[in-house]
Amino acid sequence: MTRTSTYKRLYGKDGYQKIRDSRIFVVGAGGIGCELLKNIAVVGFGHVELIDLDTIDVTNLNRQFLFKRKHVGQPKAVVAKEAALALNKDMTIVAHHANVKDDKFNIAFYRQFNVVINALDNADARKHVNRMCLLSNVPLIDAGTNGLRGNVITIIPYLTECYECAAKPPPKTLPICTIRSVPSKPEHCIAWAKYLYQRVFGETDDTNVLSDITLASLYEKDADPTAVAHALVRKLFRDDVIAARDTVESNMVWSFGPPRPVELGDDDVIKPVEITTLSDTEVLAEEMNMRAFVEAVCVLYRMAFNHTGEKASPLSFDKDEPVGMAFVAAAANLRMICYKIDPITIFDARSIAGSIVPAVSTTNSMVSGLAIHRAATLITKGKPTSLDDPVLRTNYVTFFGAKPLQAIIPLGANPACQVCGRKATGMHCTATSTLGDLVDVLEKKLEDDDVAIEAGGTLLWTGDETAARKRTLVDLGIADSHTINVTDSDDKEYVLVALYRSHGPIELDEMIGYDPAPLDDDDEGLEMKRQPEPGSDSDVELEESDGEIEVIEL
Amino acid sequence: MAVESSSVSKYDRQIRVWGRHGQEALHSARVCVLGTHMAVLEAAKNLALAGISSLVIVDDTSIVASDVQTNYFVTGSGREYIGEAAVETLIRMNPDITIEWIHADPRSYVVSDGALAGVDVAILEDDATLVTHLDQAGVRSISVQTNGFFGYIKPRGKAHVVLEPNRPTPLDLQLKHAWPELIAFLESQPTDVEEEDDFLRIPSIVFLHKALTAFEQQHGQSPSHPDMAALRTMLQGFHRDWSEINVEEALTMVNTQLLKPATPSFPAILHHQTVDALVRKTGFVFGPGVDDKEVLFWTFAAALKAFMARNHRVPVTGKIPDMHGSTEIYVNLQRIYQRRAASDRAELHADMVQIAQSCGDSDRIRDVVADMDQEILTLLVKNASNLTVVSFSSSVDVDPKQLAKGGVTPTVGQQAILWASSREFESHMGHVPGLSAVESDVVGLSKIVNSIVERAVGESPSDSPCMPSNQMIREFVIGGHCELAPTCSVLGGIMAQEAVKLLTSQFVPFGGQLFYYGSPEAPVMDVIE
Repeated sequence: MTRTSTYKRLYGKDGYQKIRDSRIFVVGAGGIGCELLKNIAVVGFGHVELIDLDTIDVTNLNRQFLFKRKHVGQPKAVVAKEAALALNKDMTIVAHHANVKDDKFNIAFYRQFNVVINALDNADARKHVNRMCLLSNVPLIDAGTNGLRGNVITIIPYLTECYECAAKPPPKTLPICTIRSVPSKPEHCIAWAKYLYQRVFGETDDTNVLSDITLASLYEKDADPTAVAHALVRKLFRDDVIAARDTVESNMVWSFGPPRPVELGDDDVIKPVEITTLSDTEVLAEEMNMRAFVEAVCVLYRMAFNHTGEKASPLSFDKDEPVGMAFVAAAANLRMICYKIDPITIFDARSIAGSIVPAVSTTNSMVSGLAIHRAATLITKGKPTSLDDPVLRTNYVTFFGAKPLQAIIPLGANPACQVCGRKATGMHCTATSTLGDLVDVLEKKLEDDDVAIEAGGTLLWTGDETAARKRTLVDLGIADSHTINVTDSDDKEYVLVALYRSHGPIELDEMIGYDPAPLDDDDEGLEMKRQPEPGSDSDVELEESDGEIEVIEL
Repeated sequence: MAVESSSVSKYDRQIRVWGRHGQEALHSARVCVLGTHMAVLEAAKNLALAGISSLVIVDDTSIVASDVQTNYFVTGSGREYIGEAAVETLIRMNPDITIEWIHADPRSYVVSDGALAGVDVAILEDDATLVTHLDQAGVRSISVQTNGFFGYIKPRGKAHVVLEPNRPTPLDLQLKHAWPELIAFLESQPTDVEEEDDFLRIPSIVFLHKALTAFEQQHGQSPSHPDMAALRTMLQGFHRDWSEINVEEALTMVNTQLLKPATPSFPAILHHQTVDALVRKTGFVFGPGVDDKEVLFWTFAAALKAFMARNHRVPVTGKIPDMHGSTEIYVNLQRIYQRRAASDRAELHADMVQIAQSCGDSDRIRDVVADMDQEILTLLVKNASNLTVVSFSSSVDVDPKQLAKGGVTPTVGQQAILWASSREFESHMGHVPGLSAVESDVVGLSKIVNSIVERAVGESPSDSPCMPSNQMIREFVIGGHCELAPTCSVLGGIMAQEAVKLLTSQFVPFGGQLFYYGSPEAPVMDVIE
C-alpha cells in the first residue's frame, strides 16, 4: 500500500483528506521536534511551519536524529526541514530560524493553523505560545519530557486548564549574602562564578550581585590578557579571601573553618592550559583550576574587549560553550577550595550552571507518537466541546510508577486565571482608526457607556478625555497583535487583540472565553475546583525546565 | 568499556539519567535485531542513538514501493532490501557504533552456529518460533507487534536482577537506630536557648530526636502509627511564640522519620532461595549462565541479609535531607552520617568477602567483589530496600483465561482478547484479519471474539468487561497489520527503554505483556502480568 492508501484506510477517506489539508505549527526542533517532524512527514500532514532559535550542538546528537555531526552549528529548523522533505515531498514545510516571541508571529499568523504543537524545553516560551494560542483560539498540544518522564497535554482555549491556570511552584532561591560571603555548597560558588562571568565579560548590569567589585586593570588600553588573568586570580582567590578571613564580623559563621587563599606570590607565573585538554569527568586540582582559569580569561578577554580596553562585544554565558563553561567551573572550584568545599568536575559544574534537563530518545519517541496521534484526532474529529472528551486526557509517560501510561481528565479553565480567565477577541482596525471609533464600538457592544481602555501600561481612556478621541490607535502605540485591556463599569476585564487590515471600520470578533469575573472578587469555589480529579497521581508533575536559580535578597 | 570524553558530550543529556556507569554498560552492549518491523527499527534507532556497542540487523525482506513512503528508514535509499537501507540510515544517525546487516531469514539465522553468541538482548517482530528459540538459547528478547492503532510488547527470557531500581525513596535518618556518635551530637544541641536567632539555628532533626526519646521514656516502647498525634503535640511544644520554620519542618517529618517500624522487614528478595543457598550451603556454585552482575547482586543480597539480621536496620546511605538551620550544624551532621555510611559499607564488604570464603564458588565471588569499587557499593546501599528481581512470563502469549481472574483494566483485557482472536483467525483463514475484505473479516473476527470470551471468562460475552466493542473490532480489522508511524514511535520508544533497563540493570522493567491501543479517542496502555 502507498502512504495514501494505508492512512486513508486507518483515518477514513474524509478524515485523511482533512489531515492532508491541515496546517500545523511545531514550536521547537529539538529532541521532541525531530520525532514530531518525522511522524508528520510519514503520516502526510499537508503543511507544517517549524520554528527554532537554536543551532545544532554536539550534545543534541544522542536524540535529535535528523541532525548529523556535520550539521553542528547550523540552524535546527532549517536542517530539520530538509530532512523531513526528504521523507515526504508532497508536504510543504516552512522553517523559521527565529525566536517564537518575535512580533511577526502574531495572532494572524497563529490563526492559520489547525493545531499548534509545543516541543519546548523551557517554561518561558511555553507561556508565550500558550497565550498566543488562547488569543487566537487555536488548540495547543504540549509535549514535554524530563529524563524518563514525559507528558502530553491538550489545551483547548477557554475549555481546558491553560498552561498558566495553576500557579507554578516558585523557583529555588539562594540568598545573596551566602553567594557573596559565606558559600557552603558548590551551588553557591557556581552562582558566584556565573555572576563573575557576567560582571567581567557581559553587558553592564547594575543588578549583578558582584557589580561593586573593582576590576580596574581590565579596562586599560593595550592590556595584556595574561596579566589581566593573573591580576584576577590574585585579587579574587588571594587578596579578597584574606580580607574576608581577617574581617571580624560577629555574625560570620564559617561552615568549614576560616577560608584560605590560594598559594600564589605576586611574581608567580601560572601557565595556561588548553581548554580542550581538560577532563570533563575528573576533579581538577587547585593548580590545574588556576591554569584553566587563566587560559579561559585570556580567550574570553580577547573576544569581549578591544585594544582600547573597551568592552566592545559583551558575551553571555552558555553552558555548552566550552571556554565560558571552563571559566565558570574553574572560578567556582577555586572559590570552593578557598572556602574548604570539595571541588567538583566540569561535568557536574555544567549541570548546576546550566540547569540541564536530562533527555533520552526513548521518552521523546513516546511523547511524539502520542502527540501526533492526538493532532490527527483533533484535525479529523474537530475541536472537542466537553472536558470529558477522551482526546483531552492528559497523558503521563512514566517508568517509575505502576502504569507506563496514564490518561487523566484535565481540569477545566480556571475563571480566576490571569491569562484565560477573561473574555478576549480580535479587534479589526486600520491605520486610520481612532480611539474614538473604538470607544463607540465598545460602548455599543458592551452596552455600557463607562468603559476604561488601557494599553501597554498607559490609561488611554476613562470617559472624559474628549481630545484623545481623535488620536489614531497607531499614534497611541498600538501595533498589530498588541493587546488592549478594557474594563467595564462593573470592573470586568476584556482583552482586545489589534488586527490591522487595509480598509473597513473597527469591528470586534465574537468574544471568547469566560464571562469575566469582577477584578477583586474572591471566588470561594475556586479552592474546591483546583483539587485534583479522583484517580490522578499527585506524584506526577508537569514537566518543564526553567530551573534557573533565582537570587533573593535576605 | 570506558566512556571517552568526546562521547561524554554527545551522550551528556542521558548520562544525567543513568550515570557514567550506565553509559559504560551500554557501550559494551550487543543487540540483535530480528526483522525490520517499523516499531523494531524505531527501537533500534533509539538504542543506536543511546550509544550501544553494536547492532546487527538480520532480515531478508525486499523493499516494495509502499515502504518508500511509509517507512522512513528506507525512504530515498535506492536499495533493494529494507535491512540494507535501515543500516545506512542508522549509521548516519550514529556513526560511532558498529551497525551491520546480515542478509538472512531470521528463523534460519538464529539456528545457525554461534549466531547468538554474545548477544545481550534481541529485539524482534513477534514470532512464536523465534521467541521460543531465543528463550531456549538463553537470550532475552523483547518482541513487538502492531496492527494500525493497536500494538503489544512482550519481554521474555530468564529472570533479571535490578541492581539499581532507582525508586524514589524518602531519605531515612534512622533515628530509631541512632548510634552513640549521633546521639551525643544531637543531645549536645540545646533547645532552650534565649535568643530567637539561636533557636532558628537548630535543625529539625534535633527536635525529632528529643520527641522520640521523650516518647520512648514515657511509654517504654518506640512509637508507631497510632502515636502520630502524641508525637505532633510533643513537637508543637517546642514552638515559642510563633510557628518557627524548623519546628514546622520537624512536624512534616514525623511520618517518614519516626513512625516506621523499629525493625524493618526484610525486602522480599532476601527470602529468595539463592540468598539462602549462598549463606547456608558450603558447596553452592552459580550456574554457567549467571553473569557477573547477577553474582554481585546475590552476594550483596546475602551480605545485606546478614547485616540486617545483626543490626535490625538497613545500612545508612550517608545522605540526609536538606534542613533549615545552621549550616555548621548541618555540615557536622552530614559528616556523622557519612562516617556511619562508610563503616556500614565496610561491614557489608566484609560480609561479602566472608561469603566468598565460605561458599563453593569462592573464586568467582572473590573476583566480583574485588572488582566492585566504592561507587558501586554506595549505589547498592542506596537501593538496598528496593533490590528487585523481575521474572518474565514463560508462556508465549497472554492466555485469555488469565483475564478471568480479574484485576485487568477492561480496555486492556479487550485488547488481549482481540489479539488472541486474531491469531485464531489467522490459523483458520491463512491470513490476518483485514487483509482481504474488511466487512467479511469483521464478521469472522467477531464470531471468534465471542467464542473466546465465552470459553475464557465463562460469562455471556455481552456481560463481560473483556468483550471488545464492535467499533474496536472494526478498527482492529481495518488495522490489518499496518505499521502506523505514531504507534511505532510509542512502542519503539518503550521497547528501547525496556532494553536499556535490562542492559544497565537500572530501573525496573515490566515482566508481563504490555498492550497499547492508540484509540482515535484516547490512547490506553497497560501491562498484564
